[in-house]
Order: sequence, then C-alpha cells, then structure tokens
Amino acid sequence: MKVFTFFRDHFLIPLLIFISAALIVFPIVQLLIQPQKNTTPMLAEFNKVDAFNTRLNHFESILFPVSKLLDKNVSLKYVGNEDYFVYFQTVLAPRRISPDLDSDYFLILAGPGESLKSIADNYNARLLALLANDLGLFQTIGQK
Amino acid sequence: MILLFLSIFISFAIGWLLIRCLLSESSVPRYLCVLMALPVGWALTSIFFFLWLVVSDGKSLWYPAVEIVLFLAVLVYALNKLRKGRKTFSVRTGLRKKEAWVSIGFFIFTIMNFSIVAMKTSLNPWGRWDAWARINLKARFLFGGGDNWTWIFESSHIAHHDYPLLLGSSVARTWAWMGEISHLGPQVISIVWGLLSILLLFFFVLWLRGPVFAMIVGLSYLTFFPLLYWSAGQYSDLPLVVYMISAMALLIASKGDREHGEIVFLAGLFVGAAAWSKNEGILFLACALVWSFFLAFKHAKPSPWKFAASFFSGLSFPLIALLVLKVVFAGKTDLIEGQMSSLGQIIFLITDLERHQFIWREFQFYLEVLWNRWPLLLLSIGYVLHLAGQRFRIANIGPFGILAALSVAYYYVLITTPYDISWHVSTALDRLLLQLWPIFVFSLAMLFNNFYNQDSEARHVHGEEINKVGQS
Repeated sequence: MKVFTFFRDHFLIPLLIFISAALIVFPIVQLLIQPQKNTTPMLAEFNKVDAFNTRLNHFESILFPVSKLLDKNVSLKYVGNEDYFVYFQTVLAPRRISPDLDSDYFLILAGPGESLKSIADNYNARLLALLANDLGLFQTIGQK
Repeated sequence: MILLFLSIFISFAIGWLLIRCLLSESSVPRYLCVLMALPVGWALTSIFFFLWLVVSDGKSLWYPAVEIVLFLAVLVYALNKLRKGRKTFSVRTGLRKKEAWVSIGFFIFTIMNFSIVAMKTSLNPWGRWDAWARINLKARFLFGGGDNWTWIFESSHIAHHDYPLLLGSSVARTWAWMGEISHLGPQVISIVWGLLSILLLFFFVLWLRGPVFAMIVGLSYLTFFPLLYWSAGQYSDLPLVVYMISAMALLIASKGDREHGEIVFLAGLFVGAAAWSKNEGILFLACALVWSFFLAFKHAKPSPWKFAASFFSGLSFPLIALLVLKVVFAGKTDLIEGQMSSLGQIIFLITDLERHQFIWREFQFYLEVLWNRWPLLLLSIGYVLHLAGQRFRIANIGPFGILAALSVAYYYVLITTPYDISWHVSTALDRLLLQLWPIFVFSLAMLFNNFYNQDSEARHVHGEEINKVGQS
C-alpha cells in the first residue's frame, strides 16, 4: 500500500502527463513538418512564404542600384500608386521616402497605360536609372 | 553571426550581473535568475540605446563601445557589491530530482517545437506585416537614420508612430553590433523571445506551484499554436508576455521577501519593461500598480513605503524612457485619437449588437480551429486531476484581476475601434489571445494553494531562517 501511495504521489501524475504530452506534441511536430491538405489557415500560412515577403524580396533586388547611385542621406519623393509605397519604404529605409517630401530626387512608378517619361516631364526631371519597365529613379533639372 | 551572438551575450551579461546583485540573498532559484537575465538585459540595453540616440541626436559613431562601457560599469558595481555581501545563494535554489526530470522532459518538448519554428522562420525572413512595415522599419531608422532617426515619428506613412520601442530598439542595437542591416538579427531575437515566454512560464510555475502544475500549464501554452506562429513573426507580443508573467510571478513571490525589497524592485522593472514593449503593456502597468498598492498594504513588511520605494525604483528607468518617447516624440495613439472624437459615436458602437456578435464568432473560430482545443482540454483535465482529493485554498486572485481588466479593455478597444471592425478583429484577436492565454493558465495555477505551495512557502521561511543564521 505504501509503495502504491509513494508511486501515486511521486510518479503517477507526471507519468500520465508525459504520456499525454507525447501523444499531443508528437502529432503537432509531425503536422508542422508535413502539413496535410485539410489543415488550419494559420498552419498552412506558417508553412509557406507569404506574398508580402515575396514582393519584398523582389523589390529589394530591383531597388538595389539606388544605394549605389545616391548617398545614403539623400531623400526621395515618391510618385505613384500608394499600394506599393509601403514596400519601397521598407526596402529603402533608412533612406527617407514619401509622397509628401520635397526632394530633388524622385522614385516614379508608372501606372497601367502611363508613361514614365510623361510623369517625369511634369516634374522637370531626368532619368538617373531605369529600375524596371514602370519604375525609375529621376533627378530634377533646374527649377521644379 | 559572431557579432550577433556577442550583442545578445552583452545583454544577457548585464541582466545576469544585475540579477545576481539583487537576488543573491533571496530564495529565487538560480535557473529563474538565468532565464530572467536576457529579458532584463534586453529591456535595459534597448532603453539605453534609445536614450543614447536622444542624447546624441543620432550622431554617435560606434554604439557598441558605449555598451561595453556600460557593461564594465555594471561589472565593477556587481563585483564590488558581491565582495561586500554574501558570495553564494543563501538557500538551496537548484532543482529537486523530480523537478529536474520534469524540466528536462518539458525542455525537450519545447526545443522540438522551436527547432521547427527556427526552420520555418527562414521561409519569411522579413517577418509578418507589422514586423517589416513597422517594427523593423523603425529599427532601420534607429540604426542607420543618423540625424534623421526621428523620421519614424514625423512620417505620416509609418503606422503607430507612438508605439513603445523595446523590440525596434533591440533589433537596432543588434544591427549596430553587426554593423549592417540583416534579417538574421530580428529572426533570432523573435525565436528567443518565444522560447523565453514558454520557459519562464514553466519555471515560474515550477517554483511557485510544483512540477505537475508546471507541466500542465507549460503544455497548455506550448500546444497553443499562435505561440509557435508568432515566435517566427518578429512581433512584440511575446516580449510583452514574458514581462507580464515575470512581473506577476515576482509580485506573488514578494510575499516571501519580507525583509528585502529586491524582488519587488525586479517586479517593478518588469512592469516598466512591459509598458516599454507595447501600448497594451501600459494598460498592464496601470493594473499592476493597483495590485501592487494592495500588496504593499497587505503583505509588505517592514513598511508599505519601502515596498513602494522598491517597486518605483525598478519601474523608474523604463518609465523615464516611455515618458520621453510619449511626451517628447510621439503623439496620441491612433486608436484613442479615433475614439475620442465623439461620445455619442462610442455609445452607438457599444450598443451595436452586431459588433458583439462578430467578435464572438471570430473568438469561436480561434477557439475551434486555431486552438485545436488541445490546450483547453489538457488544462481542464490536468487541473481537475491534480486538485481532486487534495486540500487547497484560494491564494492569489491578483493575476485573475489583471486578466479580467486586460480582457475588458481589449474588448472595449475592439468594439469601439475607429477602423473596420472585421479587419481589426481578424488582424488582432489571435495576438490578443496570445497575450491573454498564458496569463489565464498562470492565473489558474496561482489561484489555489495546495500542498506543494505550502512546501514552497516553507522554503521561503526556511530561506529567511538561513539568512538570519548567516547574518548572525
């Protein structure tokens, strides 16, 4: 009887918890490594690259020449679709970039059907680098 | 890579030396002192980094040199203090055999889960939305902004400009050590915060309530999937969890620290660090102040004033940084600014039943799908099994009071949000639950005082007796 009491008080509950833990933790580990098709949205998202990271990697490679062409303290005025601004801001930081900034340098993103040159002409700016078909780095010529 | 780990080591060393000075005569176990060292170190170094930016206006040349001087100053202070005082811990503060086996088992489970988190983190090196679009973006300016580091408060295109800077500042100081912006810094920091949150919860409960409760509580949190998800997300919710749990555990333990105010000092530091982590932490600070006031008058010996002095001394350093941030640089939080517009609008939003129903539906979704029911089931069964047939009494309702206050406040913010409620709830609820769930399981463990806790209290008394013998 004393042996049973000793076992119950010292080992039974920890043992039960260890067994239940193994039964719970191991399937979770397995699921994390190889998620099944009918998994939860959070788990599915956990196991793949999110769209934002893909875009950030893409824009990081596109915007790489900016750091080569301009001193790190030079700020940029952004002209273009606001949806993409957050990516440019993140990738270019700590360089300041904003649609509200007053700067001699422009990052211009042309929308569908728009031409980079015509937008740049509005700001009296010349092309410094064509970063993509619809994205360019510009500098003002004389007075804006 | 070496510089990254050196930056983490410096934070750890500063935290460890401070804790070693403070707790050498207390009954806090050594394993907890080791685990608390990094949160203390990260809080102090991130605040120091921010205040250094404020003082130098971003013109400092090589910040790590400043931190090495800080480390040496703390080292000299610690050596001096330890030479005068006791050189060893006064009570047996290691693990018992049973505790050691349970801890090793739990540690293996935790490492298994987190090794997968580490593996999956590389899939999204930039972290989740708030990490790259806000926290790490601010860190980039703190690290490399130079004179323009205050751009994070001025730009209308950086969201939540008023948010506390614990994580952003920690990442920036890590980059300052590394000399470059790297995804590795925030990734490692995020995983370590996740690990610390689960290990500190487990070991605090192990200390205060014994191995069985520690295992139940630890597994209930470990199987809560948002923990693993957000450990790879690089958000500041997990640092907040660490500081809230640590502060509450130390406030409970302060009952056994009647002669000295060191544990209360450390609790105050953790409360302040919680407020330095997130705006939700400021709410926790308000709740903790009320609870501390109650504890001071109920338990503090020799006087409530000494308790208050120790608590506010610990709180002061993070609070100064927070006040500098909020008063000098940042404005009102966007959520409060939006809500203050009209009282009639608030009443309209609160009385709109559809909004309540929407939040409830989302909550059910998380309960059923994301939670997978395991943590709740495990907690219920373990809790009932453990307490059945034993004598116990209600011990601490303070953590439950804090949980209730935080839950009501979070619910209010969601109901009266100036943003689209479906967007706000869907993007915030899982993280709010991530903050509340560990507090809930911790509160449950602290609620009842069973045989093991009496034993634990006996260890406190035993410790005091040994102290007296040592002093005589």
